[in-house]
Amino acid sequence: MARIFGTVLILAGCAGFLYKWAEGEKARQRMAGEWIRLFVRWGYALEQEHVRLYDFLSFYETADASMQAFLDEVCVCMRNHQNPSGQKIWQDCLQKHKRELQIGQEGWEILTSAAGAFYGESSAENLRCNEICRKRMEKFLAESRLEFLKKQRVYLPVGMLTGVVMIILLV
Amino acid sequence: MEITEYLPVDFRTQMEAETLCGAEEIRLRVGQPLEILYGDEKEKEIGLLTEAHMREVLNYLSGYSVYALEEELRQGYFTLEGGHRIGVSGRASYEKHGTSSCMKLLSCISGLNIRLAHEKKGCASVLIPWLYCGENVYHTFFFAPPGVGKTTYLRDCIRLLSKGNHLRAGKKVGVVDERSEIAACYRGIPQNDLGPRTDVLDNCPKEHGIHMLLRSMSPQIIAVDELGLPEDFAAVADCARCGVSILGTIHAGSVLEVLHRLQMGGLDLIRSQMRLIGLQREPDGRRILTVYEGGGNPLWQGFSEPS
Repeated sequence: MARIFGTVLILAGCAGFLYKWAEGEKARQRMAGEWIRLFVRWGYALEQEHVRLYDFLSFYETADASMQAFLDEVCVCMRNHQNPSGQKIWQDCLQKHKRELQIGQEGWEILTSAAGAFYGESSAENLRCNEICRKRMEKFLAESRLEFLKKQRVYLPVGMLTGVVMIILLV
Repeated sequence: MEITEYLPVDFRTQMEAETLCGAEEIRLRVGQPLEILYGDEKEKEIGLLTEAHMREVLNYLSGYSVYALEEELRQGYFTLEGGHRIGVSGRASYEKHGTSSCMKLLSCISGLNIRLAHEKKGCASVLIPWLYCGENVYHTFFFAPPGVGKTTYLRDCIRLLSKGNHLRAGKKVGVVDERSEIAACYRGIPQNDLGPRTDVLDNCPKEHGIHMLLRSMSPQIIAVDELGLPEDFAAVADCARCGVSILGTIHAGSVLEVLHRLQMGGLDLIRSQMRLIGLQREPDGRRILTVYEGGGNPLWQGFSEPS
């Protein structure tokens, strides 16, 4: 009975570890997707609606809670008129939400450079920068998906094999 | 939002709470002190404005979205939430279209003039009896040089006519607010009180707006700010021909100037149903109001307290 229980426990542990890893990767992909959606919507707003950034961000809703919290914080800082530079507000808020915005090193670099898409001097500059950020984020998402599939192919059998070895050794 | 919050952080600390009480204009010029002009012709200077300060103010005024003001900057002004108008000076660049050229961009902004909007409720109440012709309202034009308060009086007239009084019912008023100064709309919703029967068409050119309101909102009065171009007067003449009264403002120094401009604009025929209201600023900030009939003869003169 104890052997069966131990076997189940080890297998469940391995499966749990793999599941957690997969969920983390998927969350990162979802967030990248949400950022792409923001860039697409912002590009449309720049070209067609000519809205101010504050008006755009304060009415923009995203499915990702940490991203929403970040955007809300940017809005609050913009409303407070305490920081002379918009790009500085963006960078400060990004640093503050670094832990929650888990998007990887490449994604982080894209978000840092995205300040130019929101706080440029002209619509043309914003549009150009926004387009670059969107394309980089799309590439990042595609690569993440590919990498996830590759890793999944390795991690799944390796994880299960490790579990079996541990069962043989320990149980 | 308080107007001080649009000023550079360095300057906010130097300003006392009552510094902007009674202020009519704030002028910012790179390399010069920040200048505050009051209604009673006093002025106050604070600190020294640098290029970095100017960029900071532009960021605050535009909501960190200078790009969104490209079109407005081309016209030399933009309007803040609350109806405050910001005049801009800087370096203009032009592009050629055939033989003519038009402004492409206003960059390197070096001067700003923040004209503070005042919603002074009741300031036009002394004028209201002069505007009624039985149950109808005369076509009424406020005239004065810039900065005397035409828009403030126009706004209050709209409110009072829309609201009505114990003798007369309120009128349906349509407002074409090309520069967002009358209603100070934010996301299309008027921030100033224009009365219960007022419809506002925000950020719309006058000649289009007047026709749109005529067709769609069945107004009894249409109000517009700053008539000046021939097409504005043509639209007003159309409106008058449809039996709708006009309330408007005109930049002019004398009643003769206004009459000449109205004549040039083809509004001669409605003189008998017209009132002209001249505004003058006294050194103590009070305004002298003079009501003229359509031919230019004065009917009444009175004072209004400073804002």
